[in-house]
Amino acid sequence: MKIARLVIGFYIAVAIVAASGVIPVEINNDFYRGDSSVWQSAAHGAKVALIIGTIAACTSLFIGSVLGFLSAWYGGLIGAMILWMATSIAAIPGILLVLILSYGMGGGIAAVFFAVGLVSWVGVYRLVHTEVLNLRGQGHVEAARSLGASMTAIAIRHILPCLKPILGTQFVLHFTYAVKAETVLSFLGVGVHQQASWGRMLADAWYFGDLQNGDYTRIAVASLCLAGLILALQSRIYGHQK
Amino acid sequence: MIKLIFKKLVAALAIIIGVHLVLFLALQSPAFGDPIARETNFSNDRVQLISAAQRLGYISSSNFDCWSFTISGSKEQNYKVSMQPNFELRDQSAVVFSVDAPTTLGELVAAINSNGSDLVKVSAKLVEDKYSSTPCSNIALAYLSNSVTVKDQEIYHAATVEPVSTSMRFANSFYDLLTFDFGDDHNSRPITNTLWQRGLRSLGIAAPSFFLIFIGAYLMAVFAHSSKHASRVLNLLAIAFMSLPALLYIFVLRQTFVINLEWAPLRPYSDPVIPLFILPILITVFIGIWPEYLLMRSFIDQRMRQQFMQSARAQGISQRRIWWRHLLPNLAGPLSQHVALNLPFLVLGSLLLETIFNIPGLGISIVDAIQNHDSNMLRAITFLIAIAFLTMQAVATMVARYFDPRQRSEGKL
Repeated sequence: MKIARLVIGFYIAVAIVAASGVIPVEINNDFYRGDSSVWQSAAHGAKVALIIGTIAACTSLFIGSVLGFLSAWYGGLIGAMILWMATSIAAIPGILLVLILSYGMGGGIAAVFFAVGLVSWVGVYRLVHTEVLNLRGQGHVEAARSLGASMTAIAIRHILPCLKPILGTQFVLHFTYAVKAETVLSFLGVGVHQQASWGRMLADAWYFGDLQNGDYTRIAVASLCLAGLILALQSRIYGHQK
Repeated sequence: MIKLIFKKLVAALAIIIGVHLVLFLALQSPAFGDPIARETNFSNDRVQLISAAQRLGYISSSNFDCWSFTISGSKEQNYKVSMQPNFELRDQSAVVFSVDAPTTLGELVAAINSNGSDLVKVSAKLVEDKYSSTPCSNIALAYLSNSVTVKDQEIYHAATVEPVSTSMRFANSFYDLLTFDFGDDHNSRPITNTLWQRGLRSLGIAAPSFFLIFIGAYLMAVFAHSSKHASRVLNLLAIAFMSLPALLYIFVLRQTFVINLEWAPLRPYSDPVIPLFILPILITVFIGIWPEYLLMRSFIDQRMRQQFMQSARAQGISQRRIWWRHLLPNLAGPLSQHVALNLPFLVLGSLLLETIFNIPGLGISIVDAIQNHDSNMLRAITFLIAIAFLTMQAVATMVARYFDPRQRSEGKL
């Protein structure tokens, strides 16, 4: 747990330093051509990963929680409409829909996190829906309702705190998904443009033939940075669950 | 039973409409930016713009002769016509005639006929009155956005089209999808033919990979359940391998087996290519087996705690018989659902593999479609996968009913 916390803290510190402009990175029009060192672009990759992961996870958590709550609370037509939306989105493979939305939005960092956020809320919606159905019949929620508390107050004060463990786990899972999706999108050309990211590093390593030249540095650094962040986050979840 | 099937069909139709709505919003509506501009890669070429608008259903048909205008003047030289958004007639030095941002073609024709210039005389007419209310926006502007050179005394026929309303576009494209009329791709080839050929190739990688993953994950989970040390090692390996990006495995394994060891051929795709498929299948299995192992492990752990397993062990039945005769049939229901629901999505699992190994399947079609701004192809592939998903969902429900008598007694499909 402590090591995981330290690793996550290190990534955040590196991202802040990269965002402050202390670490320069050279970007040419379409591709990052290695004018900067691998470590410099890895530092900027940490910044991009944290931005994409955090915003995408927050977006999907927000949409999934709100829709899951509304669907369980009101049921009926509203519930059926939300279920229809969720099932329709779930019928399309996630990565394909992310690809299409990212392409539709013209690529770039904002497109990546919005696309991932808009696609991956379905899982959160299902969990929150089930939990709210259980919680709404419980004593503390019934008591709040009988005291005349509004729906928003019940949601924020009485239901949200009970959803914290689920939402925490889902945040990490969606964060991981978003960071991994970025690598695929960047490789396929609809990911991050004009910025160094781990996905771009992997894509550039392929397009500039690093492996053929026997140079594994860029691939190894990008992959290990990604794996380090994911492992640290996952061990935080397991720590919490224990 | 018939009522139940009817209800399921209505539910499936609702989901198909939902999928179409998602695709329509993402690819054919301006919700995320101008789809025509995106389709032409922000080109100003009027032929490309018209063609893209037709492909996306924005216009029903092009009419190149619905209005015309004649220029005659004292200067014997070429004139240029442009409309961005003003209608302008310009000689080599300056604008000689202009109409401020007309909204309809009728308004434009009236403005041209009522205003004159000292240097040139311009007159215009509509071929048919029905075009007078056609807006000078959208595609009409797009068509005229490039300057067009017009010679003195020449009649110039400009284009306009009848725009299609959003609701009609939605209905038309839904009808096309339901009838599997996906139109043509960016190379003007029928999409249906392309999908049929390429889908089979993708399935050639996806289907064997999936069954190898399935069997391998079951064996690993059984092995892990029988030994604590094996369980620890396999869990650690699963977590470590799952944390690394799939691209890394594909790059490194391709480099090792294709380039360094030369065990697999390195050449562009051509039929028949069984050796070319072996390495992609093995890579897919290596990437996909770890999450499946963890899932299978949790299924097995749940079942092993149940009473029927405990009583089987208490009766002294051998471990092997328990695994194959008691556990596996009990897992068949949930596992068949898992297999059926994931199989259509696996066709896409080879997205990166097909790109890197240059195998022209559905995955590479998606990449091509994105690079060539071909929304029709993206729409067609996504729709087909969604249909496959719904079909497999129905199959999975029936299989689960077959294996699990409790579901039959519920009286639901």
